[in-house]
Amino acid sequence: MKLNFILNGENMNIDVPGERRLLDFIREDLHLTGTKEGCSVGECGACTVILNNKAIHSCMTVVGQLEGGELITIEGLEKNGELDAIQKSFIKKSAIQCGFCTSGMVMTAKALLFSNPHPTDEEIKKAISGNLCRCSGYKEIKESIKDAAYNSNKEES
Amino acid sequence: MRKEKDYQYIGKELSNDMSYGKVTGNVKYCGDMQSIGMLHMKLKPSTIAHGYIKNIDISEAESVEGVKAVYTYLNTPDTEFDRGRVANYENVPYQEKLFNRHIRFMGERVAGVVAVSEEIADYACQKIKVEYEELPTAITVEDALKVDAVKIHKEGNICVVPEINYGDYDGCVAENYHKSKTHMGRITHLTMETHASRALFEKSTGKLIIWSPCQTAFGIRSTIADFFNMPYSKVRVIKAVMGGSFGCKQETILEPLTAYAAIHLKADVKLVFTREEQIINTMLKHNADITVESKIHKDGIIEGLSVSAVLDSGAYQTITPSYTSTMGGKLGKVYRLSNLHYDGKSVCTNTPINGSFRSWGSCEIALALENHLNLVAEEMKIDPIELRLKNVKNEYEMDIIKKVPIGNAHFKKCLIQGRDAFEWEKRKKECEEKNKSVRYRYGIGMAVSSHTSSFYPYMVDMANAAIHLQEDGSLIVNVGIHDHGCGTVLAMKKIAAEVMEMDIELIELGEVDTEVSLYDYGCYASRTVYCLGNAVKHCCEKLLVKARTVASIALQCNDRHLIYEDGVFYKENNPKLRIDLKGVSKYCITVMGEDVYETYSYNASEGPGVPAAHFTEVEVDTFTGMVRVVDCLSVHDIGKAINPEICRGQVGSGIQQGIGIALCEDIKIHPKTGKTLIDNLKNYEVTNAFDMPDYKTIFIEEEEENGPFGAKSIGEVVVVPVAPAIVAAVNHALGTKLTEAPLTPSVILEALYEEN
Repeated sequence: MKLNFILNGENMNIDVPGERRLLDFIREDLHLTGTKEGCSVGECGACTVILNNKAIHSCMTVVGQLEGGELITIEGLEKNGELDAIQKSFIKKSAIQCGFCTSGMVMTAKALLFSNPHPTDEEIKKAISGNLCRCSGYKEIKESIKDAAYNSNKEES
Repeated sequence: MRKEKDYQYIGKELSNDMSYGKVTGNVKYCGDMQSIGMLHMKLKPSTIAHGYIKNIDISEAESVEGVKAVYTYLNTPDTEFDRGRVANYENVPYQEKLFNRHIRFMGERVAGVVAVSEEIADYACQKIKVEYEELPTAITVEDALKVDAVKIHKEGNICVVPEINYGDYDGCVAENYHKSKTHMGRITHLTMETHASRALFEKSTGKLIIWSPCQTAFGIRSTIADFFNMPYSKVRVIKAVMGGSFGCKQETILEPLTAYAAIHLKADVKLVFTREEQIINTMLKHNADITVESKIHKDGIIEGLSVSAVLDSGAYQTITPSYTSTMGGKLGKVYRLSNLHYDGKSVCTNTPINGSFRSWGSCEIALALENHLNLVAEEMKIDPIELRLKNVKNEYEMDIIKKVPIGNAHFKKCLIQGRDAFEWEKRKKECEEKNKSVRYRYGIGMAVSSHTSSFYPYMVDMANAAIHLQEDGSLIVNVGIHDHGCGTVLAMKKIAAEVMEMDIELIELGEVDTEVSLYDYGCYASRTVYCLGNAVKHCCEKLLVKARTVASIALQCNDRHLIYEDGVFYKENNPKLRIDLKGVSKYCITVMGEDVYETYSYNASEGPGVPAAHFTEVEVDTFTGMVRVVDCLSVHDIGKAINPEICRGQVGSGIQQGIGIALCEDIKIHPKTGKTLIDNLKNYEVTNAFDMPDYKTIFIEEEEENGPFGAKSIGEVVVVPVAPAIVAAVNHALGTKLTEAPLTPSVILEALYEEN
């Protein structure tokens, strides 16, 4: 199918089978390999991307669902050489070890802050409960999201 | 060298190596690698647990457009190899082949397809028709141990490991005798990155290049090169960025397959496992049954200990005999024992293969032994911490099995600081108070354990570094490191930067590439920081000696009159007379006609212990059988935390996995059919961010004399004491004597039912 959508801020017009798995389309056709495959059944969150401001599992989504929408992958967060507040906080707070969950975790956090710029600790925990990390006890990740929310809000006020 | 208070890097928080690349999605893991003409491999799993392939028809698969090759036992070599071999002189079981006619577990690969895309390879796999001749099975250890059990391998099902005897357990006498049996279930390591391997046959050079997120690039190289009878110099293994291991990437599993296809097709071949394939077709953490007997004096002093372990190796022995043997070796690390006996068996079953797991046996021994001692404490009405304080080793006591001192290891401090910080006595009373509620019961539990920091004296533990000063004063450090993602590259850079007193940004330190790296066994046994860190530290010191000599010649003064500070040599009484490292390099190259580099081989002569104590409080819902960890504390004697925040992250990881072992993670295999009943994350219970309890970490940092900047290990020990502490807390809450793990709701409800 002919597909129109916005990818990381750029208009895209691509001919692609609508039933193709979004994760494969992103990784294999667009060569954006920052989005990871961890379980293929929507349980680990490694493949999380943002479609129309919502975090979705790209392993459970087909390309047809992109039509007319706006897709953000991890590669789209850095703007003009500046990292997103969440990315900066993940680096600052030592939330990155093996890094394989990082892309999905950051995207989930980004979507959370889109809809809820002042999340409570409980809301942060809930938001990332579908993103598994095996290298940590989630503490540094939760602190990073809190820190990013705080910094974003500070910048805006 | 700088004094501790002036350290610029050691113990300071810096972002992990490759953080920018990881947080922007730019780092390429093995599965992310793409190339023009790259081929993809998929494996076809067996549908029976035990039997022979009677007929395998690959004609339809071969005719699928885009398929380049289909491999089975009929068209691949019969050569046996062993996934656990990390060096060519190791004595290992050698039971595996690329493809076997004899199928030994359900899901075992029967064929492999290489095609232009993963989808085509997958489709062609489905077109392969296999007829089997089924054999009787031995799915459980109990089945496999029977006298008339089917022989899964010609050598039989059982491998008995050498006994360990110290003193005389049978002859020793004490007032109290206790016996307990602990069962531990299977879990999956659940690395976020599944297994992946890429192999490229480079036509222009005739070399085979393998990318692998592995723990032992040299181990893979020797296994592959010996398999194909190639010179080691023609096989190049490059350690790819690793998305977690916890032991499951310690062994050579996918590489022989991709290597075979790459050589056969003279191509670039990638194989990336799905989660299901990783669970069934790589390795799981052993299920084990461990019996502990003890003779204990009435004052709580242990007179003798006897431990007997039976491990399920799964369908191939691979590393399990060695693992079982190593478990016994862990018994000398924590307690002062006069009489000790250990025996162990590794038993083959028709189930997926079990293998290396974080702590290589410390976890299993701790669960059995700490369960035992917690039950003993309860029976003898001694506080479990008091019981430990009476029996744990003091600093520098001997490990009676390894016959080396345990180093500056502080068990008592771990116990006492933990007891105070956790408010043990106060919580104990609070639990009693809270347990007046009908539905929820509360309990506290603790456990103590240790691990190692090298594999000395099991074998010579050598680590090598080569350091090369660049013409601009920057530094390239070559050390055979495999970072699991837990910050070991950063730790090495910090060590180098601290010794060299230079900006860490000027230091490049890549991971292993067998073509350019000096030899290394691999990064396991928690040896990286202690052994490789020492190699880097001593090599930097040696380089500075060389640089000082060059500086003294360049400045025409006695080297004893030179002070080195922040990357500059200057004359003590005339600081204007100075030369920086860039100047040293320039002078050495242009005037002396030499390059500035040094090499160093470090030989560990100890494996310092890393005491750890875990304290936990649980809530048990007696209606549902659900157990929730309310709060917990891990205390670790780490020597010196080089990356404190990342080390704390690892503690969290250990707690998460420990909770999994204790309460929920369980790969169940059908006891009759051998089918893996839990094969993806839909039905595998794991502790997510929402379920993860609050936890605290205390590091005891009393430097280890010979550790680099006093450091010891952390990466494996973090998981070791967690599960037994939780089991104890559940028993405390319910008044039960449970010893199995995981304590799933059904186990808890059954125990409550029996109690009533």
